Amino acid sequence: MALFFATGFSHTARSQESVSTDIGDIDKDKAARVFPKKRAYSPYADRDFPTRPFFGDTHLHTAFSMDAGAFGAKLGPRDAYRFARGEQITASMGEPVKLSRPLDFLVVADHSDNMGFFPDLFAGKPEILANPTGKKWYDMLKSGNGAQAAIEIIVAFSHGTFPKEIMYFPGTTAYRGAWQVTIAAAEAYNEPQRFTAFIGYEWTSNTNGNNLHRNVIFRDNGDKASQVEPFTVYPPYGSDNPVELWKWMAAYEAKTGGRVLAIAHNGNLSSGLMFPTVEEFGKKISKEYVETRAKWERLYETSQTKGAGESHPYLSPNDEFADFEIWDKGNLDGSIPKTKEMLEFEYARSALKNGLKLEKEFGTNPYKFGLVSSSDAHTGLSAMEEENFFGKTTPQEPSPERISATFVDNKQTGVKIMDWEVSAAGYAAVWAKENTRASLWDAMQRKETYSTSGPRMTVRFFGGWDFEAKDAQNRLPAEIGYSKGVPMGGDLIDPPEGKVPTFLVAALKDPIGANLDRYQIVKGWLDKDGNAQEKVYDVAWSGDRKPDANTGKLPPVGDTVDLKTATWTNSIGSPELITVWKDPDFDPSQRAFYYGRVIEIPTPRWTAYDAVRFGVTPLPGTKMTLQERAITSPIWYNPS
Amino acid sequence: MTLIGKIIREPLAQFLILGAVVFGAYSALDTSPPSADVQVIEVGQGQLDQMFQTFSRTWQRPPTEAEFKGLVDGYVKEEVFYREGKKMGLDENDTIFRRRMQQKLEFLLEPDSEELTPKAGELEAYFKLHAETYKAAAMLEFEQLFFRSDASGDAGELAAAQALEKLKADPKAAETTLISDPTILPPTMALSGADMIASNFGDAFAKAVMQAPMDQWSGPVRSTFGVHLVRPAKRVAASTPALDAVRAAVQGDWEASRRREIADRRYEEMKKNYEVRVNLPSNMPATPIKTAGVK
Repeated sequence: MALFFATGFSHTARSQESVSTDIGDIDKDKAARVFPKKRAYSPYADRDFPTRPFFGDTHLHTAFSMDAGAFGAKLGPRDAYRFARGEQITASMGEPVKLSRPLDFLVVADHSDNMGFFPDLFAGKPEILANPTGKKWYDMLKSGNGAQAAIEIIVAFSHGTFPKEIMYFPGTTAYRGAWQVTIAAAEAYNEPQRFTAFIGYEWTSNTNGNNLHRNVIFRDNGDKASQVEPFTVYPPYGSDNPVELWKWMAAYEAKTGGRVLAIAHNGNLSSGLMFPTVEEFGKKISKEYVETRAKWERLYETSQTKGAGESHPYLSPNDEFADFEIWDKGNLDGSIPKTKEMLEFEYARSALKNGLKLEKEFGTNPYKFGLVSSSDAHTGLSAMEEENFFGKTTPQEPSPERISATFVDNKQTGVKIMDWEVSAAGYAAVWAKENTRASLWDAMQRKETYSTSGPRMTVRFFGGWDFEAKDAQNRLPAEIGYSKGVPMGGDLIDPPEGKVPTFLVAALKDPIGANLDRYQIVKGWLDKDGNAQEKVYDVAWSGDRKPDANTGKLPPVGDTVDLKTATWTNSIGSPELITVWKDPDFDPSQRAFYYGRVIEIPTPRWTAYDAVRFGVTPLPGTKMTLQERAITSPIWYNPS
Repeated sequence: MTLIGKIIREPLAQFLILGAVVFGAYSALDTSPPSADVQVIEVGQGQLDQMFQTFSRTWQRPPTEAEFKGLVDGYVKEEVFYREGKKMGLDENDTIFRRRMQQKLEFLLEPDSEELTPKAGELEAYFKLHAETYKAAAMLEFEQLFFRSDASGDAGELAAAQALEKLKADPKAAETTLISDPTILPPTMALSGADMIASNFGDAFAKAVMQAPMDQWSGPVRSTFGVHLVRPAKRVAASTPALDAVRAAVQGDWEASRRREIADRRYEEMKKNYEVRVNLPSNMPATPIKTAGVK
């Protein structure tokens, strides 16, 4: 009852949750008949909507990832969860490290391919002890000769004399070792209401160096997740085609009754393959393709260490904030240089726009995704703050050398990416009711999420038909937001005659971070000729700046960064922004999306902290400041 | 026992059929004894079983005959390449291969469950030694009213002071009229420690609110956002819990420290088998590593 009451179904706006109901739509009038409006005295009683965002990382690798281990990462999933929970630990290169504040959740997402280790030989399982060789090794280990035993095992393995009875006994297969250990680590550190340790993995489709990676996140506990093997890329068990991954997801759900979702990332390194509009893997985009993609991929990871992916200056020449932590030189291994034609199919905003076209063509929008950011760090450390950045890989943990080292250097193509270009980003913010696997996962599924490049800003974004200026003056804006509209990730439908979309927006700076420059709304739509358009509106900003009379552009907020000391002051910007905005250019016949973007005042980039702390000189061209940001999941307007 | 005999004993019916088919295909090729320079790649029951299991667990269904044959072909191909690569010495001096070996060994040398089960008194001793870690910090639940501020904070302080006067006259003023500024900060902060309060409002605010008088509005208190009035509603003093109250956390920490200890010890054991000689060139400067160090 509380749910209907507090979330308040407006008859012309509905959340993702309500769309999936199989007993039809419920509107405000209907709901009011069933649940007469009678409020408790306490304004907090029965309040049943998310009251705070949970911050976390949906994409962290540990030493269990083949490449991370090869690069020298020593921390495993257990270390990763401990660190995310706020503990101080020692990084692989030996530095002590701790987060400024614990994270609320973490997905350890190690690569599914090559995850294999040995079976858990020495857990004292009877079938192992029953084997003479197993027994011998076990005894050696017990009597302190573990090293000798290990060497014998390695030799036996590589000579093929490993006792088959041990090796292939169900439950002790080599592959299962690491996956089951990963699950066990998540189970050990998952603490509902305090810290959520999700079970997950990364499916790393990377043919020809084109990044089509997806992270798979389980809503379920170990009992279900351990019934299945992660989907891999290499044949014969796996495939590099996302369509096959979706089949795997469907098979998992059908068999176990569990739930999984997939989040793609780094379209910027996909050579234009991440968001296809014509064909994928040689097959024409079909109704089935768009429907399946929309079903399984409801979020996109817009920003992470390998570059940001919201928008590109070439695609959005009028967006002065589009040039942010961009990697646009080539694909993941630099083997294919970037061409301008690829960009449209690599960035989130253009995908959201093309999604409107595909929806018109097929009736379903395959790119109707919400947004998160995450780290993709391969260190076991989700340390993504500029002043506490522990790099993407172990060799990039803090050192005087990292500011001038090279990340990718493809001699054939000349594609070169420097370590300084690696981005200290980001985190996922999730508006969930509580900090549990189920609640966070459900919020991801309904796209009530936003992406941040690192700072923990609190960002609200509500859309509806009836927001008025005074709603921003209410003491409890969120309550108004949920009762008169839908949150980020939702849909606006059936505009009442003469009404236009209105948005209640609010942002609060990171409590220990920088002030805010502005809150923008990005609108994308299909014009009457079916062409996708976009426009960025400044809707709330700090100080008494006035948009330029000719260009309409708001002047920059200023810059207080002192690179000599790597500091800034909050003497400019605002700690919070709140307003109501109405779309001045609305046409009810044109499908559209809107999302919020909150920009911080300029602050030192991680390179600036390195320069000061290590006393090193950056290479020419190294970016030393940035304007961090949060980007919300869109709200879509669909003409009926 | 013959291979076929093993397969027949396998309880999974599909596996039996598929295994027999594949085995048939391979044994047909195997009729003559291999000549001296031909190596044998034996795909045994265990391996077939593993492939079958892995496929079934990946797809939640058994493989078809063609798929199963594909798995076996894939394995054979991998094995041929692996052996040829090894013959050519491609595994030597390969960083990835070497680190992989290290990883595998480390994984293998993980402590077993017995080693990770505390013996009598061990957990108690650990808890005693690290008692400081498990102290429960003081907690506070409070309401707050927010007042937007200019950069100096003066405007917010003034507004807060005026609102405080109103609240003194009418303690319910905040419930009926808007006497503060709108904000998306939580109006009520649930029972939280100073750390959590600080991570929502900043350190200075957390210190101040922890000292604020109970059940009444007071302030102004500055946060990183502006100025507030606060009303603490519930306070829980800091305490030292009994082991049972925090057993899961203690056990987890004990286990983690034990893992590290065992990993270090096993490495040291292994290292004992080697005499390590680092031959530094004679003309090396006294401090060979050029590292600026953290300032």
